[in-house]
Amino acid sequence: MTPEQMQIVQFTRADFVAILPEIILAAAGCLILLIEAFVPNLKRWFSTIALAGIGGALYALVQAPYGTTFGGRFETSPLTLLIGLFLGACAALAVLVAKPYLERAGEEKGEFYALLLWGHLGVSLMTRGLDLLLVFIGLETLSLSFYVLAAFFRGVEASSEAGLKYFLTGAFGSAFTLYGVVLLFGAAGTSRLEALARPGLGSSPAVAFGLLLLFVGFAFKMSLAPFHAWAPDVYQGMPTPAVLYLSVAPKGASVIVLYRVFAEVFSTGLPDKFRTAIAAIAIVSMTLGNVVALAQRDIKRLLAYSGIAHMGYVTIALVVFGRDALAAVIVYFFAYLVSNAGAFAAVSALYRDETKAHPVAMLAGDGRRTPFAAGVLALCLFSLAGIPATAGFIGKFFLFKAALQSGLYTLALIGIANSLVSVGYYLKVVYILYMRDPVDDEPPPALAPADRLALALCAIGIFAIGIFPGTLWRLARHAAETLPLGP
Amino acid sequence: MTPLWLIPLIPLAGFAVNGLLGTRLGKSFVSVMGVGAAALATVAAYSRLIPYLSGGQGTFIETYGSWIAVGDLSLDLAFRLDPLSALMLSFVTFVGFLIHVYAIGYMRGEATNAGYARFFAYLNLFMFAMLVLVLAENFVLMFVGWEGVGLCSYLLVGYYFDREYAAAAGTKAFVVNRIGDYGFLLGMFGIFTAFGSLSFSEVFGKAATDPGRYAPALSLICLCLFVGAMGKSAQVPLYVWLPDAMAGPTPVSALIHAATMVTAGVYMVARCNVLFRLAPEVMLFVACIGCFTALFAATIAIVQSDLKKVLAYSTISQLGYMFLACGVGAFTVGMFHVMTHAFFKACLFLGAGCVMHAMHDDLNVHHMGGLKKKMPITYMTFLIATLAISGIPPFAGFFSKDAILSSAFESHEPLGKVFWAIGLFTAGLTALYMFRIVSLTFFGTFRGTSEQEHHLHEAPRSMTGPIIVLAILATVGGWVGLPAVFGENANLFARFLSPIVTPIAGRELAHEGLPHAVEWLLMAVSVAVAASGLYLAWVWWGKGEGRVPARLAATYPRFYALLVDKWRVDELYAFLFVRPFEWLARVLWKVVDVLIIDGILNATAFMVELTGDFLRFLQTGNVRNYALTFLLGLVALLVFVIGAI
Amino acid sequence: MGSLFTEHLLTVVVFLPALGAALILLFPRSLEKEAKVFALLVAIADCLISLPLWTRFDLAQKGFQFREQVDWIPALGISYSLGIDGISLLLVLLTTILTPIALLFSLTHVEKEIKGYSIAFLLLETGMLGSLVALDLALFYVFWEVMLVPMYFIIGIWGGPRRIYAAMKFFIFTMAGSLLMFLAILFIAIRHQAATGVWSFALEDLYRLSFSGRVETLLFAAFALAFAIKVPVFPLHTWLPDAHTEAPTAGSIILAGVLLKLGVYGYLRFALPLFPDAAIRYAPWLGALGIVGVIYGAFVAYPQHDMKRLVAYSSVSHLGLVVMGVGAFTTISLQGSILQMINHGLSTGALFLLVGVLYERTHTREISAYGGIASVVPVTTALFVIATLSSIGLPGLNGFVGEFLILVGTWSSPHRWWAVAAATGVILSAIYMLWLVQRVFWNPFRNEQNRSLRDIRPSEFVAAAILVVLMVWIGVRPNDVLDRIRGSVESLRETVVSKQIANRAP
Repeated sequence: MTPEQMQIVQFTRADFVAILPEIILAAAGCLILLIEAFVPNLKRWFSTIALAGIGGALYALVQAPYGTTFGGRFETSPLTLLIGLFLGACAALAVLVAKPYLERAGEEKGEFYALLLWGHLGVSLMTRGLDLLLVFIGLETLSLSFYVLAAFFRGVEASSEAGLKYFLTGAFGSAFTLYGVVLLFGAAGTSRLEALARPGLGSSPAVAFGLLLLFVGFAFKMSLAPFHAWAPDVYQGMPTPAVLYLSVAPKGASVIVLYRVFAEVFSTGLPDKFRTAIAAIAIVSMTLGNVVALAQRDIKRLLAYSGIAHMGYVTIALVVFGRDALAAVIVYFFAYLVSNAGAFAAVSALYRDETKAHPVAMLAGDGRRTPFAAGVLALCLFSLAGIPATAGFIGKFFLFKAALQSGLYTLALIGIANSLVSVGYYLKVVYILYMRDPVDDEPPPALAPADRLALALCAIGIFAIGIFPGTLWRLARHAAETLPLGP
Repeated sequence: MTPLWLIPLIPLAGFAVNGLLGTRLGKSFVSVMGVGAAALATVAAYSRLIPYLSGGQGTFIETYGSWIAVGDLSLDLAFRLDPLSALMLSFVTFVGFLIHVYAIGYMRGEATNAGYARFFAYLNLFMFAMLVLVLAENFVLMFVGWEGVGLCSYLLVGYYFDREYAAAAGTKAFVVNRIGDYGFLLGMFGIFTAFGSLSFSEVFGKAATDPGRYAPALSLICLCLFVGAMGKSAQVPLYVWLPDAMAGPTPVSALIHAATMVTAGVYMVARCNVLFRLAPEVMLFVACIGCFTALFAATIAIVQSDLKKVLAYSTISQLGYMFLACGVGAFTVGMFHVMTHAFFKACLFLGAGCVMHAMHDDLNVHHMGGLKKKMPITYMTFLIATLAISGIPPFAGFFSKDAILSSAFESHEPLGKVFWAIGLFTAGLTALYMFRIVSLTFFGTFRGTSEQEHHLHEAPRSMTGPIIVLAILATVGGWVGLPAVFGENANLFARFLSPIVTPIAGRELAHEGLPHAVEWLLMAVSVAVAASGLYLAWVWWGKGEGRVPARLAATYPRFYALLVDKWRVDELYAFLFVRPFEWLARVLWKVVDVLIIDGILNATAFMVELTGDFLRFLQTGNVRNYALTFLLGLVALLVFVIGAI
Repeated sequence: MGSLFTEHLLTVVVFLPALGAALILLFPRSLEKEAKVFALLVAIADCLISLPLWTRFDLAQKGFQFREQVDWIPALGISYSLGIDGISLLLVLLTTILTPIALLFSLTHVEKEIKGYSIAFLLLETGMLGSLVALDLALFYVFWEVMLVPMYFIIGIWGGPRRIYAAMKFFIFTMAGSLLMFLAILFIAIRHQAATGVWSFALEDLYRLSFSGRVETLLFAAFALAFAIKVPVFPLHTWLPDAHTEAPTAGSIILAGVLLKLGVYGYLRFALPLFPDAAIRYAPWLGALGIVGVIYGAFVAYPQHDMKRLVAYSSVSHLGLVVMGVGAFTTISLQGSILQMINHGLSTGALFLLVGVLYERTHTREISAYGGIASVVPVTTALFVIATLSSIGLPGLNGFVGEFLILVGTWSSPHRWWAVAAATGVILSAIYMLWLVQRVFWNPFRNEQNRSLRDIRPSEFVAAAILVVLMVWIGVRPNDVLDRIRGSVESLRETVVSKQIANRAP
């Protein structure tokens, strides 16, 4: 047996310690399902267990020593740690919001949590894997669990339709990703990322082809235009807590993966063709996302398009391609986490009938009726709009700084112009919240403690990052050192 | 020795008290407060003037500290006492006091305490502003008084604010004055940049010592300053506000629009005589404007039937005389006329006020007649003042007007003789229209309604008293300025005022004086003209009950109508300025602001939204299309990137 | 604690209102009325605390005073650094005086969502004060943008019928300007890092930079645009009439009194010294736009039949004059412009307040609904007339001093004709303002409902009286104010001139 294969068979303690977080997640998921099967009356503990799982996983992640395991196929580094925190926080928020949400919907099923946890596991694999296959497995794990979650409300047509659409388009996307993986494997002779660093690979058309397919696959996950079409429909049908997770975590993970791969192939910086192509994607996403968001009447669709736009901004950092840019992306995603997750948390708390559409107009007067949730929603929207003293501003600050530093003036200008457009629709929601009289006299459901907690956490996060970004930036900058990048 | 600052401050205090508490404290208190303030101010002023006159008259400057100091611009709060300000001070305070007294009687009828208090508060405020104007030692401080009196004029003209024409007249007065002040401001800017200072003594000193250096800049500066004077002193073309200003209570017309404020322009020009003398072309302009105004206003006055309107136009005309005097370089003479005019014109207005009271605010001279019997005192005083303004010796007006005419005659400007001729003719007109109203008002038989007739009565003492005093002044006031023919030093006034006409380096004061024979002749001529004017008026309206003028009017209906409509100048201005202004304003608002600017903005926003709506329809919800766009995107990428590697 | 009021006076002044807002957040709904009073007390306290800035201000010192500096984002050399010179001193005090006045007025007039209202106002005050004292560009930008949010709510929630349109227009208009400035700020900092190897957003560090012609022009444009929109300079002014008309009275007071000034302030503090060459090169444009503003604003003000709209356009006109004075850039005109900012804050603030007094009683701003009411509301009339006189620059009141200095300063600059053109504003302002007064307070009584009009309330009177007193004070003793800006203006001109020379050198 070749030494390489040897390594695969051996399963050292180090490997175990490194993969422990994922194991915990998987176990927690199984545990929930088992409980549901055998002691259903413990169901009210599901969320607690899930949280415990996520917490445990994070703990394990923090404990795990830096370095690569599984023969250099699995990474534990400042980067994965920071991203892990980001993903964990996201998952935790999702679970927090999910409990009251499912209770209201009367669908308090364990499978929701289990799937969420497993999806989370997949995402975490994506970010830690140093082997294209591992990454792909992570991606699929994520996708499969969320296909199901999308169709969680079996009875509701919109939901099952969302599930179906997501599955079809998702399968489509994954196919391309896999094709890309295969191409790269063919070119490099192995699926391990570091092999891509071999000089000369960068110029081979096959590799370029593969990279593009890979890029498209993850662009799909990030819902970058023109690979975005699924997002609005899926967001609309999928249970809000699941959207909360799906709209943040996988996108962050995808950017990290892309950065990893590109960093291996072009450590010196992207070739111009790639830059231009990706820049084009960024511009299209920003513009399309913002402009179409203006026309949305459903808050979840609106947020979907806003997400498309935000991924457009993020992609600018991919064009810049450097340590600062990567750090900026990480900061941006933390900001995006608190803002966007907060927004979805508020949405899930403010709408009564989860299975129906979420028209913006229904929020009218909530600023008075449920000041807290409405206030946080407004705050999150201002943050998404990038108003200073909120996290969103800090995200944009570092992002545009990186862009200007590498002379991407046009891109920066377009980005700025777009964020002006975005103000349009974010403010529209705000004024409906505060300046319109209620359309119906039955107020939104009373806030559950869990909702309160989630919202409060997001609000605090928004201000914490918005006012004291120093530490986060330092961590991000340090994490960015992990990848073989230029400054 | 009384500090100068005290003099204006007393009326200011009166204003403060009456303005804040007057309404509550009732009329009697207000009268005491208001008149007391005026009286005290007069006492203070004279307590300073008398020693000044007796002792060595010179220029005293009292500085109370810096007011505005920025960069190289530094303005002090400083007052100045020299013959010129002394003269103004003397009659502004005294006449002002008299009119305050008169106002007690005149305003007694005022319904509310509030209104009464407001009136006296404004009157005191006016005294304050006027005194600041007179005493100021630099242009900007003078401007404070200058606009201050303008404000009081605005407030007092619009005193009956619930009458639209009164309110409108107030606004008009302020705005037209502002047009003049625009000139004044530019003049001040010019002076500051030219002389690096705005204090009188510095500016005039520099100008006098080094004329060659400053002369070029001065013609424009003086022109601007004179525009200011035109506004304040109601000269063509900015005179239009003064007739309307008669909407104010009569004491106001007497004090502000006859005796004091309107002469501020003349005062300012006399103050700046050094500058003006360095700008001969402007001097000529001043003379022309003055001369024309004198004639123009007189022509209107002849046919007006509103007693106060006639007096208003006569005021404009007399102010014209004053500027004519300044224009021909006889600044002292101009100031002389300012003083005498203050006496007789105040007297006339107050008399008109008495008539107005008797006639129940009916001012149409055609409704009057034969008031002589009913109100003897008013009649006598009014007659005296009329003789004075007509230039009949030995009344005050004779001396000042004669002096003006002779200095016009002797002036070296080529137009001197023309000015003299026009001035002379205007003098005739003056006598004519003044005696016309006298005849219509006091002679003949009463033409008003019976119950008006029933109410006719002489005015109370508080009103007649001041008139009598003013009548006396209108009689003797001129004797201080006897012409040279009565002896070399006969003209005390000229001698007193002469220092203000500071000699300019390298130019002697050209004044050899006319030969006595010529002067006698001129005097005789002007008296004759005035007398014939009186006589004609007497024949036409006194004896002949206005049949002749009626016939004249019938023969030249167009011209007569034109005169009655005051040459339709207001209409002309409305056509030339007011309506175009309103039109432009509307266009700028509706077209530029709303249509263009906002239009563009809203259109942009709308376009973006529209694009959004349109793109939304690409989101069909149909998976096949999704896959299609996906593929297209991918292919595009591949073609772009691979196609070129 | 003592040190808090000595070393950290500015921090206290800036954040006390925010703290107050945070506390109000904790008030239960039942205590709404109290919230209003509490907010007022906080504002008054802040005003009192800010007074030492005036008394302890060192006239001799040209640079910034009451300095504070703490690292904020060290990685990028962004620091929490505060300080004031004469210019900001005046505006800070204007803010701390006008905010309690606005709240005092609201005391009797705002009934809906009182908690939110009080919070919004206090946050707004913090925002304004912060952007006035920030000496770090990033910090400045944060405060500058934060201001928008409370104002957006104030207009949008407590405003008139078309409030939402107005609020949106206000927010997006202003945002549009400042976003470009945001990029420009980043760019400058990057340049500084490239030049010196150190990151810094500190104003004084960035002053030292100099840029090549085209770059400087672009940067200047980005800054100037942001500030021009705020001022607002023609033709970017159209958000103002809408915002003013729809905003609640107190909102208009603050908007006219302080917010607009921040535009000019920003120009003086940032655009001018950072890009002197471009600033001087484009000064003629500034002057021209200023003059257009003066005349255009006056013309458009004239035909308005909504009182607030009229006053709003008068602001366009007055600030045009201020802008022109800045453009002329002589010592006198600059000091005049700065003084005139204060004057405009006082007079226009008073005008809006008094219009508000009428509006709260009749609920109409239509001029035609009034007429002859002087007999019913004498005190209001008197105050309004005084405010009018101040705003049309009657000598003896504050307005005149500012106008006179601007004009005389401009006249003595190379651009004499600007003064000639702009001085027409003296006439025009008299026309539209006095005509307003005539139609509202004089003239025959038109509307019988006004018979029962209640004259000014004590609280309203106090609010207005304070402003009137200040008008008279500045009119009579302008030196008290001018002394404080003299040094700052000199150093500003020195900075600009010396930099110009420096840029010439190579």
